[in-house]
Amino acid sequence: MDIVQFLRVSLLLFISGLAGTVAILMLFGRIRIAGVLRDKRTGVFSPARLQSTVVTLATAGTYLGLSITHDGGLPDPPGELIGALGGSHALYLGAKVLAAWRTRFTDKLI
Amino acid sequence: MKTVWIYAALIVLTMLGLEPWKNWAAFDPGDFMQWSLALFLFALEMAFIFFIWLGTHPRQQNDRFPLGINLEKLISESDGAASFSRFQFLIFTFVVASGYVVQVFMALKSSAPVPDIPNGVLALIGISGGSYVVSKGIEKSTGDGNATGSQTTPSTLPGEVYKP
Repeated sequence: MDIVQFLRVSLLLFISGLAGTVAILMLFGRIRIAGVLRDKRTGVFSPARLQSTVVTLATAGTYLGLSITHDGGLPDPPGELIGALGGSHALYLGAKVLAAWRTRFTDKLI
Repeated sequence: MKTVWIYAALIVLTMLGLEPWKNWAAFDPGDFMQWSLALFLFALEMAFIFFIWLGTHPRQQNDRFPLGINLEKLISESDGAASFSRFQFLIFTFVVASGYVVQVFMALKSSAPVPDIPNGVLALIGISGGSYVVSKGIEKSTGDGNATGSQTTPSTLPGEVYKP
């Protein structure tokens, strides 16, 4: 076995093993993910977080597929992918800012 | 004990196809050093994953291996609740890192230079990281990290009793 081939296999094993371990530990509840879709302040389910999670997972999955099948360097992600991720995160942050302002305004009224 | 190490070294060298006892003249110390470093790196990587599993997986706190790496709060805030920003940042780190490693080794195979990172990928990482930073900024400015709502998400493992 060539040393480059060995290093390639070992590094891929490491990254996939690490990702797999983290994913399994999350699924088993050993890494806490409780509350990831809930609003921190109110504790209720947040649609902004849900859409952001879905778009993030879709973007990451699409890009991973592109980068594995692409030959000759990392592929440039399509503009639509960047736009979708940016818009989704902007929506999530916008909802967060709005909730913070609303709370501050309500606190002042009280 | 010394004999065991000599046998172990011979086994490793045989596995690498160097077969030192057949032809000592062909034995290359540089090759040996490269392989030793590669094997050390591999052992370190596997040990890292193994210790993460030992330190995080057991159900009860007492069952955890004391030297294990506990990733229980990998994406948690200081109050114990999971953070969406950290979660998405983690996903992008894994995706870009694995894609880059695959591309680097593809390039090495064809003797091409180490590939560049395109601007689009930097934009993706920037959006992900920027979202994390802005989110933390909003929380800091509003004192959201210590909000009462965070207490509604119990920070316990399954099977543990929640103690506020």
